[in-house]
Amino acid sequence: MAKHSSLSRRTLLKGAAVGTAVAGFPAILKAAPSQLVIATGGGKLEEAYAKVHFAPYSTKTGIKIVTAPNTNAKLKAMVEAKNYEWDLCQLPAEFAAHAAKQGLLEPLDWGQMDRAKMLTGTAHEHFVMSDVAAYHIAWNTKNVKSGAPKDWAEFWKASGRRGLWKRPFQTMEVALMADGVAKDKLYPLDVERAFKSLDKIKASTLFWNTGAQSAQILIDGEVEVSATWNGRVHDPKIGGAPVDYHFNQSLFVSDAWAIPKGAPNKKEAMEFIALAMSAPNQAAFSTIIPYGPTNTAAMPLIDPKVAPALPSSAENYPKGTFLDVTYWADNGDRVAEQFNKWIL
Amino acid sequence: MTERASGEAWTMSRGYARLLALPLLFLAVFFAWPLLRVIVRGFVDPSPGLANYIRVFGDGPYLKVLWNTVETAAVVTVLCLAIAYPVAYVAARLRGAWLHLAAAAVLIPMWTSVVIRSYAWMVVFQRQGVLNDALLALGLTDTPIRFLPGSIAVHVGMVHIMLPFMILPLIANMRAIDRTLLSAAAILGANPAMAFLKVFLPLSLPGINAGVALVFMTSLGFFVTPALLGGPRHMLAAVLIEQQANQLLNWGMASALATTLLVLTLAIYVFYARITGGAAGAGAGR
Repeated sequence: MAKHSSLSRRTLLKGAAVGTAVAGFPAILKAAPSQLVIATGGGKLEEAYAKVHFAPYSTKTGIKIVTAPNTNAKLKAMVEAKNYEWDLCQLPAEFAAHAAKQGLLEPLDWGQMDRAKMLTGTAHEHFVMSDVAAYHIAWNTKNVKSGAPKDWAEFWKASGRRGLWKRPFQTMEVALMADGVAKDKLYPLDVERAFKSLDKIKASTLFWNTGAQSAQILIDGEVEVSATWNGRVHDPKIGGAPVDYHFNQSLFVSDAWAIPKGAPNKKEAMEFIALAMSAPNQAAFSTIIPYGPTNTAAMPLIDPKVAPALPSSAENYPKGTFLDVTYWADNGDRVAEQFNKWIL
Repeated sequence: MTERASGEAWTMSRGYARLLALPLLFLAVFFAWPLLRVIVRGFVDPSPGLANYIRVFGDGPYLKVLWNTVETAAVVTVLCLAIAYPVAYVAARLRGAWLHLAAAAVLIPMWTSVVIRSYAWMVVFQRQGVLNDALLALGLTDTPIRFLPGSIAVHVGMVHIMLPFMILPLIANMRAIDRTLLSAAAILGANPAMAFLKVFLPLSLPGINAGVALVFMTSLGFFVTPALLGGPRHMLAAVLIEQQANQLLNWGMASALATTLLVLTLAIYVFYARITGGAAGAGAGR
């Protein structure tokens, strides 16, 4: 007991000394903060960020990275109260678009990033999309031994049960493609037509809530086919789980980097984002997580063996289409209300 | 403080009142004030007026979801009471090690996260899950039964999580019941059923009321379990509030929904307290 308490006291003293030393620096040099707080979704994504972005950034600048969970509502609370816990954040891109519309984000300094190299639609004034994930068709290989659906129209006709996200976002797009709308003619969404399309499969569809759930029902064979994100089934498939997928007619979605409006360490946050968006960092990230780069300069740096798993590879990218985050920022509320009413 | 100065006599109840001051201040700052802000927000965000409430009570999905929420909470409460009462009746008579064992059996499941327990029920109920495998092996069904998503799964999952909140107040109450009263009733000619109905059951009402209030109100705010185990019909109010607050950043609407749920809860509580003679809730026993 005594040993423990003396140990903890020593650690505490050491910590205090380091804290004083670090806190002393900015006062003298009028330079960088001692740490940068980044809000992320956690999990494997954060592990990849830590390896690819955090470590090099800290080495380069001497600034320590601390992470926090990226609860959407917290961004609004922080900006309203002008009391900042985060210096920057990783957010779902559609939410970033929404937040930008509500004036919750700082404009980015595009002088530090090569806007011309970004995939169309991924560079925005207040946020930059950081990776390309795909919402696509997947199936259980034990339940579906042959004739897996090649596109959403076939997915709609597939026998047995299918899984879709219990949210209008992405599900509406998929419903329209199933009804024959071309992937480049989705927006603005024909909401009525999407509901008519969804009506046809409502009874035979399991509407899931979370990405983890979509993977579980696929792997356990609770459904024959399901929409899911490639990051959810990539590892299980390699690990031998009875699940397969393809990128045909997939809907590309993304995360985004953004800075809360009025956050105090904007300069450092912007430097971090520029580093994370640089070609080598984007390439290194995509090697760990099967989400493709949005900076096209990163693609040539990626191992050709990894590329087929990435939604934004030269081979896969033409098969799908990017979700229009601006549409959802403008119409999300209204469509969500209609969707909730429809699904009840 | 001025009371002292003015020379007023110190009394026991005044002393208790002062002890309460600190917790009350804490509640005022960290509970009442934020709650008030939520209520106000429903009327002023995005613009002053009743627009949010017109939406809640309008043509949208909101009333239906609120009704689903109350219905689900009510079913879960009744099921919990039906299961918990006999368990508590037996557990309350235990002494020593057996009592500890019973308490542990009730408490230990509470230490596992609700998310994990809900996923575990998914594994049990799914098409190729434990339950269907058993039913198929026993020959009770030829094809797997579809439990997911469904009412059975939601109710079982929620009852599993809420049971301790019914059992514990019941045990606390029943342990305080003087069982010699039952002997007295028997001496006066009551058969065991009559003694239970006329003596034990009325004495256990405060425990029932506390458990019912606790389970019902907590169930109204359930989020994860119905989301994972339930279908569209089991969309509960908390899901809509989260969507408005966290996905759509529509805090006015989220506040209006939360306030409606709160008022509804209070209304049900008051109604319940009336019909059970004002004994609802743990603190209302005296």
